Amino acid sequence: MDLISLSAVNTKSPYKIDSDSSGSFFFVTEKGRPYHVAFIEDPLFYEHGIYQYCLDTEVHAGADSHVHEVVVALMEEFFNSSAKGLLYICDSMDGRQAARNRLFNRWFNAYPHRDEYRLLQREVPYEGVLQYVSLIVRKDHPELKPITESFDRVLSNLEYAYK
Amino acid sequence: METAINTPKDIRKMFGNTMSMRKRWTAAVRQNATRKEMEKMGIKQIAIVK
Repeated sequence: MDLISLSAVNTKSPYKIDSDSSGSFFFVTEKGRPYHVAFIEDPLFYEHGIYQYCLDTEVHAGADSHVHEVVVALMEEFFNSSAKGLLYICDSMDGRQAARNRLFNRWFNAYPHRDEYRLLQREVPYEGVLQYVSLIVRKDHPELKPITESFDRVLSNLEYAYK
Repeated sequence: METAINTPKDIRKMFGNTMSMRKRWTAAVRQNATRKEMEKMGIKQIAIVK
């Protein structure tokens, strides 16, 4: 079973992380803003083992650099689990997905251990909107090749479906 | 095991599910849905241990 240890995450996170009744990760910033984070199993590329990263906060009022550190702590523990890959699709509800994608790329490129990971990325049209799809897999994962091939095949077919 | 997706229609449907997954999770977490309720909605989160 894929699982993440709260105690392990909390050795690295600047904010204390708990799990809430919904089974998601939960933390509150020093300014009192609550955040929920989840890793949701998604069979788009692989039947089991790939999870979509989701973050939610109902209060949007300025950046808090510690949130980035919390997300990094969670992702590091995610990749210490038996999970195979992390899917991230930039939220496109407000049309700002390109900006989110640029921020994600900045964060990834600034990560000291980025060379341990393969970052697969593709921009795909879906219902008239360009979506930014990223999949992170450890380079030493034994299934890196089939996962990469599935990523390419599925998204190529999705692009074809809209031609 | 890789997902056996063969037709563009299958892929559109799967991608649609992926796209709606975050929205469904966001709505559920804001409504204080339990983990079990989420699983019934097809939202299966990674397990968390203390």
